This record gives sequence, structure tokens and C-alpha cells, in this order.
Amino acid sequence: MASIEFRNVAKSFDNGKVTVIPDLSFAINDKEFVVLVGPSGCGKSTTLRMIAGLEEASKGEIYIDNKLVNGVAPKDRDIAMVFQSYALYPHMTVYKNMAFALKLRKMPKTEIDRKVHAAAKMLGIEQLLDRKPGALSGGQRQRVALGRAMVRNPKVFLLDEPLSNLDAKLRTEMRSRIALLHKQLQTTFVYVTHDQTEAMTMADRIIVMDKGIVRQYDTPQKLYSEPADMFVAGFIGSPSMNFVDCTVRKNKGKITVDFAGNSMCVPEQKAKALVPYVDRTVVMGVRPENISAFADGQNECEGCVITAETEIAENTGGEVNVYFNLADSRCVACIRTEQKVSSGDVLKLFIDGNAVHFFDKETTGAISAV
Amino acid sequence: MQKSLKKYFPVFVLPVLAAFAVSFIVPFVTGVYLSFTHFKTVDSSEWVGLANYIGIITEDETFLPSLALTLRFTIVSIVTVNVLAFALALLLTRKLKGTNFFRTVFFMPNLIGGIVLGHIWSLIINGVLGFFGVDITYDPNYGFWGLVFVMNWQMIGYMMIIYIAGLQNIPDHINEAAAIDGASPARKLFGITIPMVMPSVTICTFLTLTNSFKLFDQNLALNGKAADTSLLALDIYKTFYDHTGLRLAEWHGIGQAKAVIFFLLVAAIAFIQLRATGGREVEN
Repeated sequence: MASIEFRNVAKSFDNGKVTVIPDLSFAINDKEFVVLVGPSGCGKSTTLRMIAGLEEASKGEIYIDNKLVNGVAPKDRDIAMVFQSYALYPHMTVYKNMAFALKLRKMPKTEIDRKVHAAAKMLGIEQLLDRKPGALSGGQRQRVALGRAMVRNPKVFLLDEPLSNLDAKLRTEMRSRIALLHKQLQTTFVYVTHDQTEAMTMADRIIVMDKGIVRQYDTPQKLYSEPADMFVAGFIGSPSMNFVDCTVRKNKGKITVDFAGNSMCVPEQKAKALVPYVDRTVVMGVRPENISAFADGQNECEGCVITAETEIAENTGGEVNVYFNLADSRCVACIRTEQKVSSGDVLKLFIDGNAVHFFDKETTGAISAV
Repeated sequence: MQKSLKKYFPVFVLPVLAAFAVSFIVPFVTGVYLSFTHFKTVDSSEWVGLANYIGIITEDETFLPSLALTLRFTIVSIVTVNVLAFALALLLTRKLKGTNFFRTVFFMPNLIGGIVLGHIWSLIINGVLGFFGVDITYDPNYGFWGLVFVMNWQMIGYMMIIYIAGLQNIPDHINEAAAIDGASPARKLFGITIPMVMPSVTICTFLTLTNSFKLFDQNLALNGKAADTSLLALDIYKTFYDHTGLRLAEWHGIGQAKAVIFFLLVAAIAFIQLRATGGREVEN
């Protein structure tokens, strides 16, 4: 049980030639489940490895449980790590794999036995204790890796893309298992993934990273509803948010945005923030799920009706993902419809004005009322 | 596909089979037959039954001592070659500068032929011993340790390469997991690293064992003249070629019987070795 804090941490490789993390500061609370998410090479794994002590920070300070841990060996940081490749010792049985760290701490045998069996029971791998990792499936190995981390009662659990080697069904199952584990263990969890669905479903808070910089650090709901910039907006949510260039106009005291021959009346609380941008181009972001099929009689004032020619339609069962072009941008809408939609169909779609986001075209930052 | 391949089976296999038969099976069987005869040439043999095998014990005084020497030499070589080669491999898989250079340097002795190597070291060792007025034949211990040294010098680099390959096969994450689990360097070495390079240990032990047991060229070149430092292969050679006179046919028979026993020993050791270490290899 511990908090983690990064203060102006930088990390570079090859004697400073390659800087992965220029300047990183964040704090993780005790017992919190924080997910580090971002595209490949954004520095999230390096960050995790710096918490573990497998990489030394080039600059700055790292605190675990309010203690400075720069220069402290991994074994003395009281952390446990689950690797993407599981990193089980192939020549040891599951039992020995799980007991290894405890044995090194000279814990009494009966105590080791009790702990290993308790963890194995919790993870449902009791019947596998005598097997070697080579005889286990991917999912079973993953659970052994979790078990090996659990038995040590670490202050901090570090998980480096633990599910990316599993198939989709198993991944969903293990996702909820890990979330449950966090509840039961009441320990700080730091989880690295590039899968935003994993991040959204498991995290108390998410750190979105890009090029070694924290783009936004907030709860999943906040990231979704109030993304700080276009990167976060595009990264969180699936399919990704649509971005359309539009021009802000002031008309009879009302703020509207014009795009591709359409004009949308902006709801009042969003309009305020757009005042400084009148007659300038901004980027409008609309989530695919906020575009619906337009039904006659719907209140047009709350949004904008557009006509779109379907390029491709993907039926996902309950919904149809309709791809179309709008003002030179490729857009997608997730619509619920009974009708069959096929390529070439012209649809009337409704953009929910209350759910749109606006971003500064130059800084890519969100335009919000302060 | 299977069928048409089957049709050509003899075409592909016969040439190799014929070569193998002519160059290996026929001489081998002839050799075994000759060990039960007295002979001067292959076609002038006289059947004597087990007389040659009995003769090894009753007539010959060198076989058992040289067998003992060979066993001692083999055990010492296996230990020294493998320990040193593994230590070098550990050293040269660290991220140090110049590791590639040193890997090449340590491997190079292996490229020199045994006879040449034996002569070079005989010159060096005798040169040094010359200061004390003796040479390598002065004391059997000199010859023995000289052989161990030359064997190490030649084999370490080769075994080191095999160990390096084994060490590089251990995933980084396993070492990192061990570091997080809190394994001390010694514990990591004996608990993680060595068990994980067991396949390399098997290969290297096997190679050193057979190479030491069969050692001939270096022995001949380094201290072939000494009477009391002949390993088995050299002893067989000497049984054949160091005898002249009327009992030549008999000595040929005894030498041939020694060679058959030698073959059986090498085969048995190799078989036991594979059985014993094969089980400890990591199944992945």
C-alpha cells in the first residue's frame, strides 16, 4: 500500500542521445488503480520500469510511499511486476515459481505453503501447482504470473501489458479478474497498456501519454467527456472521435459553426468559449456515438442535420458503423437503425450539438469555458 | 507427393549408404573381426579367439595405467574447460566494451590443428622447463598438466561460444523478474541462469568428454615420447607401431582389441551422458 510520485523525471538512452521522457511529473494515490495508456513508444513502459527500478531515471525524483527510491534496487522497493511475456522460470513448477521470492526472504516453509495455496485458490490454479510453465496455456501462465506477484503482498503492483498475449475472449475475462483482484488486495496498481478499452474499463484514473509527455491524467469518464486535447480525444473511445474543420460565426447574437455547407447552432454554454474564435477556423470533434439517424420532427436547434453518402457500412450487430466524408474529413457514425445500410446510400444524420467538442486548430487544446 | 518421394528413395539414399558402408561399416566390422586374430596385414590373419583380450591384461602393461590416466584427464578437463568457458561466457555477455574482440580472440586457438598446437606448446613448455634443466618428460605430472592446459587452451573458446549462445537465449524479462524477486547474484546464477542453460551444459560436457577421451594429436605432439603419459588413443597407436620383431602380429591383435574396447567405452559414456543430462534440460 503506497503512493507513487514522479517529480520532473527525465529518461534518456545512449548517453543522452535518445530522450524518451523529457519531463514527467504525476502522483498516484494509495490503493489507486492507475492505467498508463498511449501509443507504442510513448514511454509508458519505460515509466513503469522506472517505478520498478529496472531503469534508472536520468533526472528527477521518484517516490514510493513518500520515500525517495532513486538508486534503490528493485528487490528493495517492495513492488511486484507482471510482465507481458509472463517471465515465469521455465525450469520450476508453478508452486516453485510462486514460492521463489518468499524463499529468498527466508520465510518459514509452512507460511510459504499457506500463501501459495491461498493465492492459487484465489486465481483458480490450485490444480496446476505441480506443472511447469511449458505445460500451461497462455491464460494459465498469466494467472501464475499474477499469483507470483500476489504472494509477496507488495506495496505496489506493476503490470506491463499483461493481457496483450491473450486472445480476445480471455482478455475480457482476465480484465475483470484483475479489476476484482485490485478490489480484494487493496493495493496500488499501475497498469500499462496500449488498449484504451482496457484502460477505460479497469482504471480509477488514466494517464494518457504521448512522446513521453502526460497529455491528460484523469478519471475515465472525464477523459471521455472532457478530453484535454485532440490527441486524448482521438485516443479514447472506439471508433475514434471525428474531427471536422469549421468556421465560427456570430449571427444575431448567436454563435454558429459552419462546415461543408451546414450551419450548426452552438448550445449556449459551449458558445461562450467560442466567442474569441469568431470568424476563425476551429476543429469540431464529434464522437461516432453522438451522430444518430435523423428522425423527422426531432428538434433541429439542439444540433445539426447533415446529409451523408455512405462509403462503407459495417454492421456490428446492434449498431451500424457508417463511414462518410464530411468537409474533407473521413467520418464515422455509430447509428442504431433497423434498416439495412449499404454503400452509396444517402442518409440524413443528426449531430448532437450538446455532445460536440471544440479544439484550437493550432494548439490542438480543447476550447472550454473557463 | 509422399508416393513419388518414396519412388526416389533409393536414388537419394543409396550413394550415401554406399559411401557410409565402404568407409565406415566395412572397416568397423573388419576391425572387430581382426581383434580376434593375430595379423600383419588385413588379409593375413589367424583366428585366436579371445587371446588378444586376455593379452591386454597378461601381456600388456600399459593399457590399464593409460585408461586410468585418460579417466583422470577427462574428469579434470571436463571440470576446468566447462567452468572456465562458462565464466568467460558470463563475462563476455555483459555489456562491456570489446566483448566481440575478446570472443574472437578466445575462439582462435580452436582454429589451429592439434598437432601444430601440441608442438607449439611443447616448445613453450620445454623452453620454460629448460631453465630448470628438465623437460616435459621429466615427471608424469608435467605431462598430465601440460595436456590439461593445452586442452583448456584449445577447447575453452569453442565451449564459450556455445555458452554465450545459451546465455543470450535467456529472455531479459526472466532476469528482471529474478531481480525483482530479490535473487542475489549467486542465487540467480545457480537458481536461474545455470538451469536455463542446461541444454548448453549438456552439449559442452558431452563434447569435452568425448574430445578428452579420444584425445590423440595433442598428446602425440606435446609429450608423445614420454612413456607414462599416453592417453588411450596414443597407447593404442603405440601398441601398433612401437613394437617390432617376431611378435608383431600378436601386438597388432592386442592393439586391435584395445581399439574395440576403446570404442565400447566411448559409446557407453556418450550414451550414459545423454541419458543423465537430457532430463535436466528445460522444456519450453
